[in-house]
Amino acid sequence: MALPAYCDFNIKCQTPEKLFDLIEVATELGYESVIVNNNLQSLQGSKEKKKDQKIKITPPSEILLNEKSIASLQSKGKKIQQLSRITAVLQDDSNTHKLGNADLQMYDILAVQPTSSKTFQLACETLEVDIICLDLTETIGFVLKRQLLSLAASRGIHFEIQYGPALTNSTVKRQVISNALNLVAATCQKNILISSGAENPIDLRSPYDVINLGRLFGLNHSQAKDAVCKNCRAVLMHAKSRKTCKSVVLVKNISTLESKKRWLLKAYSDELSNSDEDSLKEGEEEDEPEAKKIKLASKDNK
Amino acid sequence: MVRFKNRYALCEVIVPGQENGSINFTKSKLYRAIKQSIISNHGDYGIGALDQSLRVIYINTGTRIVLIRAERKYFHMVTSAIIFIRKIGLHDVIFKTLHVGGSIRQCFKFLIKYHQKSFPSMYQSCQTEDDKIKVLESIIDACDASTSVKALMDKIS
Repeated sequence: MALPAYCDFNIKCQTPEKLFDLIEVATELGYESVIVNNNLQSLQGSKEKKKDQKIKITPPSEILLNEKSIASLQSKGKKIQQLSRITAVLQDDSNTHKLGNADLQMYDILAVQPTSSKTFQLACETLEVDIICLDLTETIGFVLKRQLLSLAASRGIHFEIQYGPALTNSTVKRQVISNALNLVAATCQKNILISSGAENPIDLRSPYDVINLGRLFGLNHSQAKDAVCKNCRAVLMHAKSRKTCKSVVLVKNISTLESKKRWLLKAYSDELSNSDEDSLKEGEEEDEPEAKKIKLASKDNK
Repeated sequence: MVRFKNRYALCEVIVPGQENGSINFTKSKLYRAIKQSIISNHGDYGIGALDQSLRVIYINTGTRIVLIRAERKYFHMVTSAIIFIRKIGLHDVIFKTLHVGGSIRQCFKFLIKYHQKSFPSMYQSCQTEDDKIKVLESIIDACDASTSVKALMDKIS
């Protein structure tokens, strides 16, 4: 997995046609990685039907680009990577064990949105998540304590600022700027992500403009650049390590490879056939299956 | 004596859902939109500081490139204000900052390089042989960068 240069962490999940437009504009603006967000209103199951207490969680869907846009991407020499993310709203501190559900773990990135000081403390101290995002369009009902935020930062959790709503009207803009300044001051300008939260293509801005916007939120130039570049990389790494443990290289058996990653095998076999000819000439023998495994893994984990 | 220093921002105006289309607004319309955005974001102080130096230098409706000038000391107000522009006339627009430079000359140098990068995709999208030859000719022309900067500078003045 090649790491992205610029990354937009929050594009609202919608109908395929709309998403399509969004992703196309995002590539035009210079993003190399987009993350499609699915919002989960509550972790609690419905109380009325006892049998259907399971929450309905739609599995992450992948939007396949059509041939025309793929051709236009290829001609420009651009790549785009698409990942999925789920944001769960935490209304109370029960039900948080459901975050470990297999359905939720299928998503690449796990985010929570605490609504009270209790859930915020829980999210900072114990929950195994990648991102904490607060609703900045309304007043935050609790004090952001520096100790809690630095604790979360030391655990590798990042905080998200969404600029999409700020572009719409001036009262929301004021609220977002005041909350963002508050958040940035409390985190000591570290572990901040700036993402769009866009529903329409018009809410997207190019990475360079987002860096300029970051200056309005109290970050300096390099910190703002980190917020769309370096910190995104850290989040993706954190998400990967959440599923495994601390590791450098991941070794996978070929038989467990997902269907969408089969192209790796094919690409590798082509490479292998070329290198086979070379090695035959030199008369060396290699331990092929082992090498195959490790090479694949390193490709997967880059 | 100290020179009065300016900054120039080279921006591309993107109209979502309309690829490679042209824009039809004038310099003054764009200027008014930027001014309005500065007023709403930085207030009276912002417009007071920038009123003397803010100017739209160049606008190309075909390639959708605009060049904006302002004083260096307060330039961050301009770059943060153009983010909030959503509509000019009837167009929904997104401003994409390509480059910020210290002189018009440097900005155009960058612009030429930027356009040169789009040659390969242009060549691929060509339908007829004649178009392909035209693109190839312009690639050869582009190799002599110094003359083309001069030509562009002449066009403005």
